[in-house]
Formats: sequence, C-alpha cells, structure tokens
Amino acid sequence: MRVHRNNAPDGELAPGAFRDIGRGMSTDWQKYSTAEETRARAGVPQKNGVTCMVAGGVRSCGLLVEHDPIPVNRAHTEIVGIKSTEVRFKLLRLARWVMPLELNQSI
Amino acid sequence: MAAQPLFETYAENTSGAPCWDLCIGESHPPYHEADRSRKTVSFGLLSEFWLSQFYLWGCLRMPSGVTTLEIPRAKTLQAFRNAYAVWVTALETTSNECPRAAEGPRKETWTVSGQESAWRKWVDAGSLNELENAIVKSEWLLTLEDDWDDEGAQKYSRETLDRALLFLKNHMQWAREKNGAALAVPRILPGPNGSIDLHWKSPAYEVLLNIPPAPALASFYGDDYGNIRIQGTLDPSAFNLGVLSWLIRR
Repeated sequence: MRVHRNNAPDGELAPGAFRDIGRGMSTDWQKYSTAEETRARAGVPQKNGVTCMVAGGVRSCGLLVEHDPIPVNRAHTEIVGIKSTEVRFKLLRLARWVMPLELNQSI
Repeated sequence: MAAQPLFETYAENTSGAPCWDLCIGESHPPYHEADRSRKTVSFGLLSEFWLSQFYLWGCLRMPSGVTTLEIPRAKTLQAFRNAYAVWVTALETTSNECPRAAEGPRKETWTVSGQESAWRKWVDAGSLNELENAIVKSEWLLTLEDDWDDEGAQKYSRETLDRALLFLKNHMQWAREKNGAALAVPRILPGPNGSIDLHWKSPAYEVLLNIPPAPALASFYGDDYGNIRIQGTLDPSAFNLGVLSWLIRR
C-alpha cells in the first residue's frame, strides 16, 4: 500500500494512512506488483513510501480483501470495510515499511 | 546586569493558576536576608496556560523594598524566555510599586496585597514543555490543503484542531490536579475526513483517539499489548476518567 509522506510525519506511519478512497482502501497484491511498481503508480512517486500487510491479519480486523484488477494495474486490490478507529489502530500494528519514505526529498 | 536564569521550576498558587518560576541573578530561593543586598529577581509566571497565553509578574528584592511589575503577555513560554532579558533591563531603571507585591521569604507562602498564597506540589516542568512543543508542531496540519495526499484527502479546520488540543490541555490539567501525575503527550496526526488523530504509544500501552469535526463524538481504542483493552466514544470537551487513567505517563 502506498503511503503519502503527509501520512507519515518524520517517517513514522500514522493511522490516518488507512482510509477509504471510493469503495475501499486501495492496495496492490504483492504477487503482481513490486514495491517500486506500486510507488511508481503514485501521482508524485517521490512523495510516497510503500507498506505491506499480511492479508490474513487484515481479514482478522473484520475487513474483506478483494482482488480487483483494473486495466492499468493487475495487482489492484481493495480492502473493504469500515475503517473505524479500532480498525485503523490494528492496521497500524500490522503494517511494515517495504519502501520507506525518502525524508530528505525536496519536491 | 548580565542576567542568566539559574533554574526553572513549576508550581501553582492557590488560585489554581500554573506558575513558572524563573530565577535570575546571583542567588536563588529560598531567599535569605543577604539577598536583599543583591539584585536578585524572581519571576512568578502566572500562566493562563490553557489559553496558550502567559503573563508574568516579578518580585524584585532590592534594598529599598519589594516591587512587582506586570509584563505584557507572551504567547509561548519560549517567547517569555526570550523576553525576560529586556524585562530585567526595564526593572533596573524602574522603581514602580504596585499592589501586587510579594513579601517575605518564598518558601511555603507568599503574601500579595494581604492575601496569603501557598505553593502547591511541584510538577515536572518538562511535561508541560513537551505538550507546548507538540501543540506548536501540530499547526502544520492547518497548512495541508484539500488533496494533500494526492488522493483527495480533506483539509483540516482550526476548529477541529482546537477541539483536539483542548481535550489534551484539559486532561493534562486534570491529571495534574487529581492525580499529581503528568499526562503523556501524544503524536497529533492527520486523521480521515478532516478529523484529528491523537496517538499514544509507550512500552505499557497504545491508544488511538480520533477527534472529528464538531459536534460528532470522539472515538478511541487502545490496549496494553495483552488482554486489557479500552474502547468507546466520548465528548472531547468533557472529562473522561477512563481514558485519563490510561494516558497518565507510565
């Protein structure tokens, strides 16, 4: 999952990163996308890092993990369900950086 | 006088107003008769801290007596620190007397205009500095415009941020008054849909509290990394003992 730098002040992931955009929270299935490719799909890639979460852990939060390939992204996956305070708390515990933010970037 | 603060402590007077003591000069409290021969200045900073404003009064012990002055408010403790040097200069050239004069050695009590006041317990000044710093730092949230994450995220209002900060300030005060304890200072973060997240994480516990725009209730969830959890909703303008008991620094 891409994380914009404003959702990770000082490089530390913030729970606000876990929010819905449209139907759900957009992520990429690791099977079909590298971290670099995920980041490259951002509007301004240099402003983003990439995190990963184990799908089973996400489902244990009461969320649905739905592979939803789109023409420009075979890896696209939606995490569907209410992103309550409790859920965001738990997702924050699950998430790990696989491509940390580049903190010294001037954009 | 080339003044340097000797030490800084924090206390309260009986009116409940938080006070900072900034002692400048060649000696420090408790005062002794010998101090009267020196230009020793003690500032009692009566803080309207919860409104993020400070003003100060000073007790100047000079051979001729005791004098106090009121100084215009400083918005932050740092601004007060920056301003004190100018204030000392002004004191040296001023000999005003005003009703708010402190008398006697400042050990247990001091008297102002015939009203006896007593210092309360000392509180770790560091925790208030930490909160002040976090509040100042949180202003960056108001610089975020709509679409600040390039994915359509909503910007934040001053009212919502102030709602969150008021919750913090109130609970810090209540923690101090009711438990004599310092409240841990959280990260103040951008939340979803214009809300503000307060996130505490310590070796003993982790708590996330989300404060949305008014009038919606805040929601919270936390645990001790084991079997004890806390969750629910609250009115951020009201005192919440349950949440407070988790947030006390430990």
